[in-house]
Amino acid sequence: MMQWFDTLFPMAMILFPGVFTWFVRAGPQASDAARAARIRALHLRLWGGTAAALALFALLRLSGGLAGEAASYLWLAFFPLWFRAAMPLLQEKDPGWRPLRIETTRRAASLVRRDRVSPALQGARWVSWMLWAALVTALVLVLAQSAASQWWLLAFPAFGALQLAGGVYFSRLSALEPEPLAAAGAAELQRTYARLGVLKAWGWYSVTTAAMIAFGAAPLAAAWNDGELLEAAIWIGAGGGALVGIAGAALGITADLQRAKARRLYGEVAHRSEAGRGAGIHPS
Amino acid sequence: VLTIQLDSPLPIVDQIRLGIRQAIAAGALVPGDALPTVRQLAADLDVNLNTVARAYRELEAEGLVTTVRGRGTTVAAARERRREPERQRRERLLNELRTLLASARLAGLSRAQIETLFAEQASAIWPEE
Repeated sequence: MMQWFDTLFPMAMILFPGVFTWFVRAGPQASDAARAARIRALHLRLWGGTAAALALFALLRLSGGLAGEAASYLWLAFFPLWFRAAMPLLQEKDPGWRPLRIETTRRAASLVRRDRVSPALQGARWVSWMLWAALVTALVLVLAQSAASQWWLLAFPAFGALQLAGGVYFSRLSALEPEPLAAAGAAELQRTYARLGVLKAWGWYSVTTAAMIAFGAAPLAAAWNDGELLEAAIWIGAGGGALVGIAGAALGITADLQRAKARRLYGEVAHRSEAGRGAGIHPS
Repeated sequence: VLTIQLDSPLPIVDQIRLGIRQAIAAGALVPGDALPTVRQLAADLDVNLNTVARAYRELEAEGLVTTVRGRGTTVAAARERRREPERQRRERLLNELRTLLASARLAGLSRAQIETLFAEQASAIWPEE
């Protein structure tokens, strides 16, 4: 099973930047000849890099031995492919992917404190803490009856608790991400930011809760077998951890898509607002 | 929504202060409402943190908001606001109005234009009337 994982995971990671950018549509400005040429050159860089990384992976894998083992680390090629090739291409295809730069002289902002209106319900947080308490109680009961007395296994749910607390902190921090408004179309922008806010808050909540469950269930499965690491414990820990990581990445990408949408919308409405009324308070 | 104009002759700090003041006066912000953190408002408007912090300090000095360490800045209850004797308040408002009217005339605005502007702004402050 791990053999398949070691083959498929690096290939998927190497291919991801190319496949993802393939599905992002080019904006109407891409019809500009110079820009279209830049997009072609960036496509070449991305797919050239992807092909080279895949060829190296195949070569090392087929060589076997130590080189074959080292091939599984080629998933790290994802980072240069994503940051050096895919991101510049995405930004060229669609300006919504560029970092936000507020160039207008007329600026607007909401007067609502965002970190206080987190859409992640307090009730949902209580459910996570109750789950955590149930896992810790079960682990303590199993450890108390076990001959091996592997009390160090409690370090895992303790780390899970840190994850839950970190989730709340990072959720609040992400609410402070700039959300510039424009006097014209402010309501539409606010709705887009609100959708992004819901995604971020529930994203942090779901990922940290799932991680806490993995960190609570894996030692419980191990303690059940007198501290011996069962295959089940490995699968819960490694498999669960990998799934949490993939879900986190998927949420991050979805949030980036929402950000791109918000930036595009901001670009459209901000310049419309320049010709509007003066400073002050305007109805949203 | 608070709006500022970078190329306005009015300093940004005053635009922020007046904007929030106006929101409180119009009832868009009510006592107990939490204002955005200095960091949030500065990031959204893309202005310096110190500019927003200064506007908040000035609003606090006016008694319109209260800042509690760790809890942030909230709109002050009417009873917490600075009490000013009726006569003194009337005198101060009249002086501010005279200064404003003089500035408008010096800027070349006609009486009719001033009255229109006044009516527009009054509707924003008293939306219910």
